[in-house]
Amino acid sequence: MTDGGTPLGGSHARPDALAKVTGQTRYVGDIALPGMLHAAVAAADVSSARVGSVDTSRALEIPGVEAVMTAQDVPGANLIGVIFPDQPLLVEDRVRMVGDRFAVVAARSPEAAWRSATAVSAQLEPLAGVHDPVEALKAGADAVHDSGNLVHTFRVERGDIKKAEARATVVVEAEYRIGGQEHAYLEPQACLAIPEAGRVTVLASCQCPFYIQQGVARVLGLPLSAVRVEQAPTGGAFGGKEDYPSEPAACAALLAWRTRRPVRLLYPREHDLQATTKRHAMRVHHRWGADRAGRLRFAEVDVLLDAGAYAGLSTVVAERANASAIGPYDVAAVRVRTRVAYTNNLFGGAFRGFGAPQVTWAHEATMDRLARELGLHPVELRRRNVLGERRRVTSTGQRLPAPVMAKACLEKAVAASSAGQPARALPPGRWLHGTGTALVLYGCNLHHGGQHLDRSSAVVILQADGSAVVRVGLTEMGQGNLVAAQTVAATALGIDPVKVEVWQPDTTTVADSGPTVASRGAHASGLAILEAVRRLRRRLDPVAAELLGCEPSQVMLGGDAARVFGEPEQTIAMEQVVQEMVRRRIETIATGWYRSRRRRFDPATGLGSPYEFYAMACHVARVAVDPDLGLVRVEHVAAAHDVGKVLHRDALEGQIQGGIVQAMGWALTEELKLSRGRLLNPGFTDYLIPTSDDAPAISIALLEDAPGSGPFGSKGIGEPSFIPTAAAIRNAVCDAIGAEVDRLPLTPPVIVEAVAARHPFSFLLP
Amino acid sequence: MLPKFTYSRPGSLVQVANLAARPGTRVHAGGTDLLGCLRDGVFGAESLVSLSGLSDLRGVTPTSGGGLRIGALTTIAEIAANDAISDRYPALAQAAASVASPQLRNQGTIGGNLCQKPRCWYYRGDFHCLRKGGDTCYAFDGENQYHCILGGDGCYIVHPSDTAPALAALGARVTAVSAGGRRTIAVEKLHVPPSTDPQRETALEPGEILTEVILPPPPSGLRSSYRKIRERASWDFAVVGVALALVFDGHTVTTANIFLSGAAPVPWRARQAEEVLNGSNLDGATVERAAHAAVADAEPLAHNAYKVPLFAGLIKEQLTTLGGGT
Repeated sequence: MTDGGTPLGGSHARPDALAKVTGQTRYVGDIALPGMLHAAVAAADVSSARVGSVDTSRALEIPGVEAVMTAQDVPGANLIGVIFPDQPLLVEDRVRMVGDRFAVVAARSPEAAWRSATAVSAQLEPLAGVHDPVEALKAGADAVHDSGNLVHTFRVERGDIKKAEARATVVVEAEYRIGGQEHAYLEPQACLAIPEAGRVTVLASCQCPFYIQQGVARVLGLPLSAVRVEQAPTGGAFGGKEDYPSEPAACAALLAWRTRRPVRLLYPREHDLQATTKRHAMRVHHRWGADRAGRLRFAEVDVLLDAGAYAGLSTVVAERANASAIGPYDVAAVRVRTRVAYTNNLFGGAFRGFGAPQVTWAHEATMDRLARELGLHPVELRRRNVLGERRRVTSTGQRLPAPVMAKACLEKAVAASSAGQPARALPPGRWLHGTGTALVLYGCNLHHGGQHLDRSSAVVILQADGSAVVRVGLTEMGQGNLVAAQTVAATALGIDPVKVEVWQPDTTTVADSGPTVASRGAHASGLAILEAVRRLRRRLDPVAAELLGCEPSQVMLGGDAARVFGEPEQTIAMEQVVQEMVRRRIETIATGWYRSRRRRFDPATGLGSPYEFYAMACHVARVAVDPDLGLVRVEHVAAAHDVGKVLHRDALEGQIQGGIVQAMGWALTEELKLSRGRLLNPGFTDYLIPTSDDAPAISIALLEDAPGSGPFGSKGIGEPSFIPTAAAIRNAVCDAIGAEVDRLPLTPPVIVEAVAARHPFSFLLP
Repeated sequence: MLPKFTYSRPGSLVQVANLAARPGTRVHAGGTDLLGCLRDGVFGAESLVSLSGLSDLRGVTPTSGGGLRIGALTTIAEIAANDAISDRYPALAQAAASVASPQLRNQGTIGGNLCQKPRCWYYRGDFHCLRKGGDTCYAFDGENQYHCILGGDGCYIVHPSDTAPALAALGARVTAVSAGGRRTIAVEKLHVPPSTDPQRETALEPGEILTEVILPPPPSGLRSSYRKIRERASWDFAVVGVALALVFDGHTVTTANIFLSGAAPVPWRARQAEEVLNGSNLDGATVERAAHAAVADAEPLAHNAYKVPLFAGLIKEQLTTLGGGT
């Protein structure tokens, strides 16, 4: 207990931890119902084709098969797609990417189901397709959709670039090619659909039960009220279970509806890697200028996202990339253009950072480039340009309230980096050492364009023994939403956190709370819980006051008791207060609601307040590079974060450590090898996520000086922990080898190419 | 999904060999490669015959001639932890320690490690390539960052084993037993290059079981090492790797054996580098010349030329380390 006897800022045991580490948590794959069938997906292995017909006759002959369904069997709309209705659930006349579904199968065993799925055959007329977003936007390119390949363009237009350019003495230009990333959650996509006459329940591993509810209702042609979605315990998500799970859920629901039996769909890992959304690959072109004093004068950024075959969430990912393109720097003249292009590649979706990591990688690479051109230390160039007390206006013209923590994060991280020690000794070699710095300005919660979704529902039910049941609309996926919600509720009710039980979301117990994304879980659930507790206290406080012999306004809650303000001796146990409420038949349940504040923003110019408030962070990476062996070892990462207020220290630090290691994988080894839209490495033997042997030593500094508008002044941490890491690693590698690297990931071939000019064996390269 | 197969675990080698000779049968030792291949549909199997009933095939024992016998079922972890191997054949201990991950080393066997299927995502994926009986190598014009720079001929896989180059450098032999008898094969001759037959990886005939590895006694003055460069610190194949076994007489190298991993469809003997070293001292210029000679014949594909300087760098680094103190 900290903060005067509340759990706030402490490290009490996470409520979900024991069951998870002892194997007691029941994931969807652990749940079998009597009569349950197993689903499988017949998926395309080419990325572009016209479809003549789909033949299911051989698939139906496989023993154990109960149903094979194609597009014409869909009772409602054959449409999935969160924002644009561009994606059929089951293929009609076109294949647009590998993984598009010709049919879904239900059978008595998973083996029979997947065998049957491979027996579905489609008459295809192959098309060349387009697999490069630059090519996709050229005149005459194959159109992925009839609407053309340009999905959308976002802009920021601020100040006069021409005039500013005249005052810039150093101008750098670069083209960055940044690869995508697989989420690599521990638990692949999983759902279970249970039909009843006229309605259906779906249990799913997911981030957004309400998205699934909408998707299933649309596909089955049911009212929303007839579709109940319960979030199953979810073994990791990282954005990969935001938009995507609506697809497997709709498939399972479709088969359950047809067979009138429970149907479970578990993706084998290979199918999961091959068919689900990825972090967007981006091309980012920069032209930035500074004056002799090292002050940024202008910044021009051109971003191109490879959306893949369907729009999915690409436009909102692009919206965040567009607003984050300049970073936490004071630049008077800014021009950003962010375009989204369809290709026949795997489609991009939500992934921790949501478009910001790519543009952050680019702006931090450019800052180091500029520093080298100016002959300044990269940290010094940042000091001269970072937002701070005297420079508080962001690149979109939003004025930030004081204190602005970016500079403090920079100094803290730089200091922590020089004091840090590597996790392990290096093997023999010619190791070059380097240090790299990266800053992020993270817009908390949803962008202006998505603020209609920025809402959340909670229910708090006081129990007769003084404990409390809490329901929220946002999900636990490993990130710590349960412990955050528990901490907030326990603090507000003044009870021990073990007496607060937070249950997984279910669309029949709370109102549509939007998605669990954008690092908004603790923020949005916490504020809704606080509102519910406020409403409860309008009924509880008068009862407690009567029992305590004071005025309701004097009642305080804490230590599992109600107390009188200023009279610490006068207490009554919470249990007794609630029992009195029960005896008097006073309602012990309350709902709470949160919605973000309205703000001004002009989508045409990109100017205004895209986000309500910001979190800032700085990561400093120290690396060792052996240029002869193409090896990069990240030895230490120092992370300083402007967190507003710590809700739960272990969960917060865990998020930062996880974000750093996950981003290190993206920076160095994780490469999606696509061949004409088909993933060649759909397994963890060739798609290289980091192991514990790769993890660097990590030092964390938490800055609580600038409160956010979350519960008790907190700010989200899920994404800011990821965003600056890869950029810091890139800058450290460039520092070590003395050359610029403009591609991600930094695999051995990229390192070899970068050092080639000065390498003793460079003559061996063709 | 695994195919349906019958499974047997005979108690005698003859029974195993008889069963293994039947078409559609695969031999099961640790299964770390076999089960993955079956699950991914790389090849099928109607029946599996397990070696696990043959306890003679486990363990490391001295041979009468002063060498070591390693049973085919000895796990990679046991080899990595064996004191006799670490003391006398460090290249093998280092190679074993660098195989895959702790879990796979606990399960995988030395016999299986030598008989692995190649590393190639087209071969492992759903592509009907030359090695699987098709008529083309998809890697040649495709994504070939991890493919071979030496010895490719119609097929451009790399051999994935770490222990094979170490054993070859140490002059080890394997024993192959079939219903018809037994023979020994030098590890150097165990693997079949695609120029000979692109559809097989080893010289073992159907029904021939690899039962043991025999290491000759280490010559006096032997120094050996194995190192591989991989992208992540654990559970990753060699991007480039080198096994060295050098016999010194004072400061002079009398015999040099150099085998590369990650270079070719078979563990690749770097003869030109050996020739540079034989009879030489390991001075800086010699080391440089040997490193260069090892890759002089390299014919990289579109995306793997980076391996050439990495091999040179690695060989130079390992020769320098091994020559330290001479």
